Amino acid sequence: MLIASARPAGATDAVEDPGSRLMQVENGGYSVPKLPIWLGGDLTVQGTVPQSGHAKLELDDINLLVRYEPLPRLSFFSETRLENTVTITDGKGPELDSSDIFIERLYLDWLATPHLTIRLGKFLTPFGVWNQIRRAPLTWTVERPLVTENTFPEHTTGIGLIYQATLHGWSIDGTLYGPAQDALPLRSSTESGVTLVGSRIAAAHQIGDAYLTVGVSGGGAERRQHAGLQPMAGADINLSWAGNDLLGEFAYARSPEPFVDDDWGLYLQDSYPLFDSFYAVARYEHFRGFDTGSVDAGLLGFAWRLDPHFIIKANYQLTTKSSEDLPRGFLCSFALFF
Amino acid sequence: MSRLLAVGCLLAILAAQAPARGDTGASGRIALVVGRHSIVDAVSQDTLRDVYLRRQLLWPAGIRAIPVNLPAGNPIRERFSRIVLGRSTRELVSYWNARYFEGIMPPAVLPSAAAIRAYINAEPGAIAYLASEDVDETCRTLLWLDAGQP
Repeated sequence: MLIASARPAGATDAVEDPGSRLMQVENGGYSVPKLPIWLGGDLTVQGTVPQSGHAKLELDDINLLVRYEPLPRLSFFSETRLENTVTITDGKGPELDSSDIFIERLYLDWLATPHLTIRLGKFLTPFGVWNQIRRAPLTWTVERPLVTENTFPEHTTGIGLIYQATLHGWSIDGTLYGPAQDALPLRSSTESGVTLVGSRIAAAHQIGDAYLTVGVSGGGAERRQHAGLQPMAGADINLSWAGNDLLGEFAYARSPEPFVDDDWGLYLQDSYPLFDSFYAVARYEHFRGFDTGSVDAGLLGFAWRLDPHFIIKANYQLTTKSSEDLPRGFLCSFALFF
Repeated sequence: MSRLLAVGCLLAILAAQAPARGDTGASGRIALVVGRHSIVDAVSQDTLRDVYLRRQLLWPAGIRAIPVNLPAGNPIRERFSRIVLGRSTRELVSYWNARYFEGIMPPAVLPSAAAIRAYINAEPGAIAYLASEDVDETCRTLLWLDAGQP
């Protein structure tokens, strides 16, 4: 099977000939000639030098993306992840890990109207911003904020209704999902046994030279061992202005246990170009968990986007309570998509 | 198949010709154009934004919407991006990178006004923008964007 190679160039500078069946894909990836199939992928290598414990370097994950559009109204999308592959630990040398294969996303989209999509399958829970842009090549920091991975299930398996339209210059995105389980029954998951319903609505508009997006999310999660739907709610803001990319989120989830603290947290992060594609990054976050108590963390670092497809990050993280999810110390990674 | 071959040959010839104008022409206006036999009869600026950001993939008739861009750095493209999409081509890089992870690619790029005119007349779902001076009788203009717009 012949596959047309894409130019590993900037996101917008390739020239495509739509009259040819051997199409080059402008923003990376590969299209299969004579078939409406697109292939892409990414990989991440992450290094950690914690204040206590061993330094390590790991091939964090490799993802394969496939999109198939057999009809104008119908498309299929899958993301398959290979994780836990190789780790090199200071003093121990290289180790081959379990190399788990994980179905990250698997869904079909039916375009019911130009503005309404019906989605069936497993997809990223549309709660807040970070959970949907979580890929390492898209984010400015090595680790994601705790509130974006502990407050709500990261995946949803079921049905989603997605509305996208621009009205009087406002870009509106609305999503309804559920009733849905949180995981495909292909592999045990820390999210197993949760049923979700929820919605998210976001609006974006240009304000002078700035571009502002605000969103609210809400929903409920029913855990197998606990009766009743536990409410979740969140709000987020993203402001692009004068080179800054300011991002903030708040999320809350009621505890399923009586007399146990609710989950809630927030973060505020900014990146700013010091020169060309070299950015300074700063973040503050606070999180209070069902069983972890309260933690505050601050992060300072750099991100060097050598190419739209390739980013190198270096962060120093301070925290009041170091853990595997929120280590205190130096973190670095490089990530690319192809 | 023969239509595709003909279009491919035509585009190869046209691509070798002079590139699109480097300005918005004497009038400073940008025309949103489709082919003479396009299924698209009207378009608003809101719809244009959705189509060019690939948020709207279909026309109401159920035919795939195919937006076409001039090359990055072309002043007409930059002006169109500012007016309709609210951001520069450079500012949209992170947007398109995020859409990559949904398998959604940016609009196709053609190198010249002549190539664009040929393409929109071969593809009924295609839409493009041109400087007013590049519009001829082979195009149907749906909307004008004025120089005074933000």
